[in-house]
Amino acid sequence: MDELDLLKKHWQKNSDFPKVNSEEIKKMSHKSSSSIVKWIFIISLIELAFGLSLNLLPSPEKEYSNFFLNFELASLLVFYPVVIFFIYQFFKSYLAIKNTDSTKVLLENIIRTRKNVEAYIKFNIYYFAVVFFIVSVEEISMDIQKAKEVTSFLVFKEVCMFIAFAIIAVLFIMFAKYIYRLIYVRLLKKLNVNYDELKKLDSE
Amino acid sequence: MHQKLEQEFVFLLEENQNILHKICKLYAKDEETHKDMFQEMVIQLWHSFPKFKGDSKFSTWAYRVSLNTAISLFRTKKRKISTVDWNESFERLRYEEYDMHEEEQLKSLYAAVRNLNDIEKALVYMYLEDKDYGEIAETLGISEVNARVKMNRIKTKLKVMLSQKGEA
Repeated sequence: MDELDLLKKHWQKNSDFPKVNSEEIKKMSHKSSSSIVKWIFIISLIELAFGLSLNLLPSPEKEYSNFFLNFELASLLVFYPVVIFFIYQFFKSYLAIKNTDSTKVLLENIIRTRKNVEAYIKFNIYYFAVVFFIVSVEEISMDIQKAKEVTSFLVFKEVCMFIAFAIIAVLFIMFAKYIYRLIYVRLLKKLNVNYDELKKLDSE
Repeated sequence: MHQKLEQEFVFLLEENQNILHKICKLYAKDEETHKDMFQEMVIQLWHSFPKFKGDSKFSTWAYRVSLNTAISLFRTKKRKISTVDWNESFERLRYEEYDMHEEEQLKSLYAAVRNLNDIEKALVYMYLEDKDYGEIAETLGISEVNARVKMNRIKTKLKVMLSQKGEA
């Protein structure tokens, strides 16, 4: 008799468990879930709102060039449809999460929901990097245009300012990425490990 | 209607609660986690219960949702969450004393099974519950052949774990 069969014999007659009564079951069923999916949902909503709110920040009232104003309009025409697409994809995949599916499908749906938000965050970072670059170039060219005399010192000063802003932006992104990994690596570790195990099983 | 549904759910779950306890026994590392996991399973089952149409047996549906909760949904808490207070009967369940009166071999077997990964534990659970490979494969979302192959590997793995423990 192999080991598991010995365990099976014991397992099936094992009934030494606490008895939770109907009142307790009723109370439990009304408790709020603290599942990984609920956490992912809450954090994702915060991220979606954060991305949107960044774009609602008021821009300083200045006389920008026509090129810049056209760029601003074009960027918003790209930004909002893409964001709406991400939000739609997020809710679609979130609603597809069903605890009655097979384990593999359930894991796939949770991971897909999360990946949608990750892609959204990446899009936001790239979008703001481009906007940052264009705004910086615009500001520099405005400063140069306004100056009575274009000296090499002025150009040097503007270039230094651009580099300083770029460094701050890169540091900010690195910090955000670090915090992000800290939250998600921990939250998703179990899911990824289990999903990889199932995938490995089917690819052998 | 809601009340009737709730009554039905509570009645069925009370009758079948050992399914949940058995899964918790494999996955939870201590009594607190067992309680938290059990509660999360009840919440998950209750959320899905309106869609339970009785196509399958309640027990089959319940073990599937509970396994999914243990493998994919349950998050081990660092701090205490508000868990419904259980009656004193839980006192009977002491993890360190689980198999106090059982043979050494059984103790080692339980310990070895608890050391397996989440997917392996699910396979072992269904094997111990005498589920056929078709059902095991469907529950996990893998092929039947792979379920069989994996189960054989787990048996070998357990043998090795037990023999290593024996030598130590």
